[in-house]
Amino acid sequence: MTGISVEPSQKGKFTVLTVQGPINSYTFTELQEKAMNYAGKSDLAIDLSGVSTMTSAGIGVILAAIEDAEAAGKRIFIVQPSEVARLAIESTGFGDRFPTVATMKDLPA
Amino acid sequence: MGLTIFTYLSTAIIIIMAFRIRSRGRKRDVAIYRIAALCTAIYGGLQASGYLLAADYTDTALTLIRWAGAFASFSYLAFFRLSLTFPYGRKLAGVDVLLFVLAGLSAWRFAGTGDYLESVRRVLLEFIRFEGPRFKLYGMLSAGLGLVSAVILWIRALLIKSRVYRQQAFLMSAGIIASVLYGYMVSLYLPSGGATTIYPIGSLGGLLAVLAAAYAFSSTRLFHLPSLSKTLASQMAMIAVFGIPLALLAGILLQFRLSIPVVLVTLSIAAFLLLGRGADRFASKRFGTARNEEAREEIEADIAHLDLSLGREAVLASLSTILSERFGSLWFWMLSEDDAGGLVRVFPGEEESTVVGAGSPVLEPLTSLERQVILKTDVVADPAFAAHKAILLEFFDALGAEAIILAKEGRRIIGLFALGPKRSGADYSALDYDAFMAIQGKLFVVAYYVRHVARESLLATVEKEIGLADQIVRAVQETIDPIRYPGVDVSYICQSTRQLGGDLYDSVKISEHRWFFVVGDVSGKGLNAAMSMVILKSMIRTLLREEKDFVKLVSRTNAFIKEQLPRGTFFAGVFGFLALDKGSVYFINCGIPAVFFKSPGLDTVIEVQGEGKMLGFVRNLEPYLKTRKLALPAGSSLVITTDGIVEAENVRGERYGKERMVRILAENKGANANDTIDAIIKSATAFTDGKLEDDVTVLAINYSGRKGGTA
Repeated sequence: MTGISVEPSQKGKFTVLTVQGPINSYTFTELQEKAMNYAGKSDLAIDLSGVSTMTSAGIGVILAAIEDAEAAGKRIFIVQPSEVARLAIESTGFGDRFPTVATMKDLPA
Repeated sequence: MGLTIFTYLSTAIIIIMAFRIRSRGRKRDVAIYRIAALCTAIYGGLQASGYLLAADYTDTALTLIRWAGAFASFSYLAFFRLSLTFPYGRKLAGVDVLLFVLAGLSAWRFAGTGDYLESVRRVLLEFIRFEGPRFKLYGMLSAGLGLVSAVILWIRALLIKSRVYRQQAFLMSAGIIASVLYGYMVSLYLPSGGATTIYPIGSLGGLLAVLAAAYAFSSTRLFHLPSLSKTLASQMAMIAVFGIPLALLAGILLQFRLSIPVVLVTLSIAAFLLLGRGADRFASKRFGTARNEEAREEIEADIAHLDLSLGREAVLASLSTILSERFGSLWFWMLSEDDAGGLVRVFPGEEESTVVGAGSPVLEPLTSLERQVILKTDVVADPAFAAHKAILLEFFDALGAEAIILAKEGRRIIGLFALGPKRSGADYSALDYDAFMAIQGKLFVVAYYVRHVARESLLATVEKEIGLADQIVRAVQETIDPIRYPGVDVSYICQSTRQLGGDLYDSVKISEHRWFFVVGDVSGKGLNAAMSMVILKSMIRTLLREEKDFVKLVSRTNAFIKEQLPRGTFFAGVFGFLALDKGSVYFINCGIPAVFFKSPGLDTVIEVQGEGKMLGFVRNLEPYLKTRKLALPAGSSLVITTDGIVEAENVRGERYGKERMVRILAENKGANANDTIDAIIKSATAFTDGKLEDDVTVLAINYSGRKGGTA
């Protein structure tokens, strides 16, 4: 089974988590641990351009990160979601709950 | 003019407040309060109107302002009457007659003579008031009556045993004192220094007394003083960093005629909406009010991490320690439902003893009241408990408890957690109540564990916590009302790939011909998802009993997920009602990936779920919900599945998808419901080489009409 990689980096005020690979019931804990580590503590961007699969487990992690960030008054953005990630987000019926930017350059200062 | 409008608005607020107070159980007190509030409102309205007309209609203005003075005195008479018997509202016929006589006397002297006011004029923006010879005397008598009422309330507060009534009396007393002080400042002291333009707002002091009394009536829980002071400090900080600068800016703009009032008010509202939330967040962070929520989450986490494998005694002992440390309770009891429907004490002590027998009258209010958390102070002071006050207080006293938390499943109480007095001697506060509400979902799991698992002798044969939790989940999943009806063949599968999962199926018989059903997937995996599913299933059953409106049922379920389940929890599924006598199904799609319909007339399988919104993303889902109706002709079938099948992937990363499922359904069109599900599972398992990675739930309904048999 293909694994997931979640690499943190810094871009301006944003901590960026770059996700590569599938986010499913076997791999979501890796994203969960890192997202929970940063969400609500600093501005966070989650780069989903390299996501090959995203199940409800991944949606749940991202929703929790968004809610943590909102509660703490921090900014959070989804960056360049891949087609499967975008479809998974839209399947919730609440795509607008996931603040999204097209590229890393579009992150606010 | 601005001040007059302000007074009219206040008058409207007072009238609204007067009628919003619930009177159940305290009718006399509330009736007297309403008289006081209405007299205050009339006082404000008459006074504002009088000063408004003082330029051109001096005679009318004089009459109105004299009557305003009379109504101010009526208001204080009413507050005085309220203070005499508060909070028990006893009948005092003699006193009432005396007060009516005094009111008549007051009306005569204020309005019928020149004692109080001789004339009134307005010249440009200045008001000129020609006071009568007894103006100050009458003012002092009214104010004195107010102060006497406040002192009586203060003394009564010290004598009342109930702390929540004591708090109410103190609040009311403080409101009346503030009202008197305000009246003195605005009606006497400031005008004597030349500030006569403020006469029209002299009545606003009444607003303070009315608001304080309204708040007192509605506060049925004790304030948590540290939190209250933090909130006040936070509000002060918000006013300092946001309110005062905004008001100064508005004042400067008006002073230099840079803006007209309407534009200014609009801009102020816009600024409040844009900046208010940020200012609130700034203030709450600085003064730590946000920490209350963190503390609640810590308690939730403590309970969620209880090790269920350790056995009932150890679990409840750990829970007792958590509650004792976090809430400062002297003791903790847990009662669990017995097989007859009564409640037995399961903690502390090794021997179970019956506390509430089956059929006990206290069970009726405990089950029928839509409360999961009940504080003793609520029962004493909240009108919602008035009808059951005596029996509930008797129950609290028998237990010696100050707070109870109920775990309900439908009309049954499966567990009751009772907390004794606090070590500090204080009562449980509003802050404690919020924390109890936050943890009641987690306590439900403990109650379920005690009721259904721990009582059975399975501990020795089952390995560790997953095994135990799995039993809870399976027990919950299997608790359904099977859909059995002539001419209808129903089958379902709800399986988890790794013992524990969040998939949910439930069906509940509503009437002879109707069933409610829900199919879906609670987000997350493993124990957390399973526990959320357990809680959600119980909550849906509870809401189903309370809520008759289908859309509101789903909306309230959404609100529960959003507010009570852990962050990031959501639910993708479908809620439905089967009207089998009419051959119809009504459903609300909440993000179920596939609902397939097979009609003999069409001879093909079509998707009918349409668009849907998942639960748990927004606070109010109601505007998004749509009920669909599907007619089920004889020979038709319906197959509903969660994402575990259609999103299953094989080793090449290909999805099973809806097309394969449609093909399987078409190939098995003559099969009964059970065989249809078998065919789907076999096909998906073969596609993934036996490695279905997600939980799977499938519901199949074959409808052959009313006469019986399967399709």
